[in-house]
Amino acid sequence: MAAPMPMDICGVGVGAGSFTYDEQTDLKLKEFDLFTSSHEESRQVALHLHSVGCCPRCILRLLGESHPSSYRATPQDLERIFLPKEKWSSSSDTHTNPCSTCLGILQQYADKSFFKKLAGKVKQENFEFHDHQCSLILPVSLIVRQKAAFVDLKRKFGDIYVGKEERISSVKDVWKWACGPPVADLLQSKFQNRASFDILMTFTYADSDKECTFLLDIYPDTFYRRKQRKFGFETFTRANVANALAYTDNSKFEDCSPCPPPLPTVECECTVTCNHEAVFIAGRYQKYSRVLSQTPWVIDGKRAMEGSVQELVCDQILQTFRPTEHRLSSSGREDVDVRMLGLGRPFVVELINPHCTRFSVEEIAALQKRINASTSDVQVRDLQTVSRVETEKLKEGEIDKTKKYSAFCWCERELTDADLEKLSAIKDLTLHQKTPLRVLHRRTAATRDRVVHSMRAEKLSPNRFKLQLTTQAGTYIKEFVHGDFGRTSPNMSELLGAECDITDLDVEAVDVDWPPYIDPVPAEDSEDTAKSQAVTSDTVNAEPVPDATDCRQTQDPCGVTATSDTVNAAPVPDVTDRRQTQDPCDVNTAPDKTIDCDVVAANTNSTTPLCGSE
Amino acid sequence: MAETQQSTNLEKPPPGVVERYFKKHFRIDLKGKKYEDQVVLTHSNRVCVVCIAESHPICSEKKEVIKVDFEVKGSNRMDNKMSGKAKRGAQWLGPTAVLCEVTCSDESKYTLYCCVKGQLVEVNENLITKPCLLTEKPLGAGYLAVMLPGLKHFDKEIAQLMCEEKYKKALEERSTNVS
Ligand SMILES: [Zn+2]
Repeated sequence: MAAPMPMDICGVGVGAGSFTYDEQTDLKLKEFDLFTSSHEESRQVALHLHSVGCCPRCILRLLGESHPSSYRATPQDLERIFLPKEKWSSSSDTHTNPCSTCLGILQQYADKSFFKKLAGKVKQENFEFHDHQCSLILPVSLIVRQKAAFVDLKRKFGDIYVGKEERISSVKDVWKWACGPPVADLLQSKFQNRASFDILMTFTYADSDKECTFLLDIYPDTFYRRKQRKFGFETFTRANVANALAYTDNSKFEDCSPCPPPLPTVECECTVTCNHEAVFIAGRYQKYSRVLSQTPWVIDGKRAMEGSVQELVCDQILQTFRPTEHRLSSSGREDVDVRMLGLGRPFVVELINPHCTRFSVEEIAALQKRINASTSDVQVRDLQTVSRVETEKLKEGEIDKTKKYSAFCWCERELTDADLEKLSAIKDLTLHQKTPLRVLHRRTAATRDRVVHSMRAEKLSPNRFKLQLTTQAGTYIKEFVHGDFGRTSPNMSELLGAECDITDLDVEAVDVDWPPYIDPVPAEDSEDTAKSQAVTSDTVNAEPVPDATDCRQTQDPCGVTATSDTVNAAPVPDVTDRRQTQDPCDVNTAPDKTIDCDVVAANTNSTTPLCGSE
Repeated sequence: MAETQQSTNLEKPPPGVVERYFKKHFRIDLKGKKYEDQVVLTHSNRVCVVCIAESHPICSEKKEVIKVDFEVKGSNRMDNKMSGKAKRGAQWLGPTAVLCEVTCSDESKYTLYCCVKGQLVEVNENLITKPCLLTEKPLGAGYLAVMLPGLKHFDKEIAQLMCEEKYKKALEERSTNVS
């Protein structure tokens, strides 16, 4: 099948043998670093490869060239260097057959018109990038074809190819060497080996499996089982085919697979996709609403509650970074009806495939301002981009860290000074908490020990008091106060010897020292901060009764939606702590509450001036 | 405005845990025994807390409970080894299954029942050491047990119980019959 070998060519320069070579090719040949230093031998190999349907770039790489810069030469240049004039393709030859060794990937998928299409496709995706990498997924049978080409060369030009198989530059590398610079010019971006923006070209070739089928006969054990497990498995993968071929000696291979590789009868197809590495943006959020769930709360396809912490935090971020997907994680979470005060709760938003990524510190600060201007229910601070590795620090705080809370409590009898002293003197009290009834349907039934490190009780009215607690992470505060049918013990009722209940709960601090603080930390100590916030909330006459739910800090993704306690909560406009955006004096204009039961003021001694907290 | 609120209704007790989170459903005259009523507190997450109703003779006659026994007819309701979120291994019991036997100081004995079909998730073991809780806090620390009906059967099971309105009517009828 091979063309007659012109073994008689020996001369150099014009008119040698039966073929005519360009006069200057000898000079140019010298610039290459090939398996053989003999120009005659190289020309013989080139002519043979040409005769079996190899493209000029494949000729160069099969001749042993491994300098990237050598591949800057155009295929036309290479033809002129390696082939006699008689074999030069005429300019009217617009369509050539796909190469038998690269299936056209170094031909029609490596020329100017393809670059234009590629650049057009990338631009259409509308990413903002300054450097990029290119990835190629090649048809598996390319490995078989490369092997066939090598076996053929070794058979015909043995001496030149002994021990050279591994030194032949790959199609993938040659594509990048040849196409990287012109594509980068078109994209006006820097081409890198590793970059966060990836242009992925997936080449599919219809005959790929067919051309590998002979391996099923040689290695039935390796491939048969994969064939059986059709779903999710490719029978032939780059790894298993390459591995099988490494164990196949050349004569065996020759018997089973045509050498040199035959001309392809179908063409490769190429799909281009773009992807940007995930970007992570971290910060802390404060939540001032008692009717706001952390994730969108949907029951049977309908919104059960407007908005969510996730949406309020993420919407502006998404508009800025334009990712295709995103995920909000936080160091724990609070219930629908629990506020997150103090310095806020650390969070990370993972932005998957973001279309814009380069923002200055000032731009991120402006983004934070936009988030904070968009809502008064949630405020964000310390917003910053972080690396993937850094985000792990978020989870470190989940276990064995302490949390600080303010619980607004009610007791059936008037509290005495002795009661307050007794509570405030308690240190490291171990609670035995049965899984709360409100989460028992979806959590394992167990009794867990949790420690209340310290408490401070402050009387607000004869029957009301504010309890500031520092507890181990995972303590159920609401159950500690109301007892949950005696299922948390000791509880406040037991400690005071009188029925107790909780009307409101605020998280004051999540002790995770990450991400780094950017916004100034208030100068007062945290207790003073808590106090001034509480004063603001005191003025609210009718807080919705804490109808529910999980004050435990967990990552349970169904934590909020699955806790259906809150379905009874009438949507009460949040009029609580808006000190950052709204004059706290406005709270008296709060609309009437529509809760069917008598709601309870959290606090009564509201003689402190309303304005001027912080 | 805050001042007025303070003086008017601030010290009114807030609605309690039962009112906030649970609905009451009843079974009355259980097993045909007059006035032996029980109440099931149902949470919207389908957790059921089984309690004694205040109209039950133990409560209405202010009896002194001296013993609550969860060992009934050779099977111990406390022998309830379960694992995981699905509570595998929990006893599945029907509404008429015996939950416990209560002995009072006047030597009267009463049997209390599960009232709903479902998994027995826990019994209130505090009643063994402090039987007085049963009458002191019948809808609180004196609860009897926690039952969890199957996900698909919850509504059906609850529909078989008496709603609070009907229960109140039944109590009214009782008092008119007596007088
Ligand atoms: Zn080629």
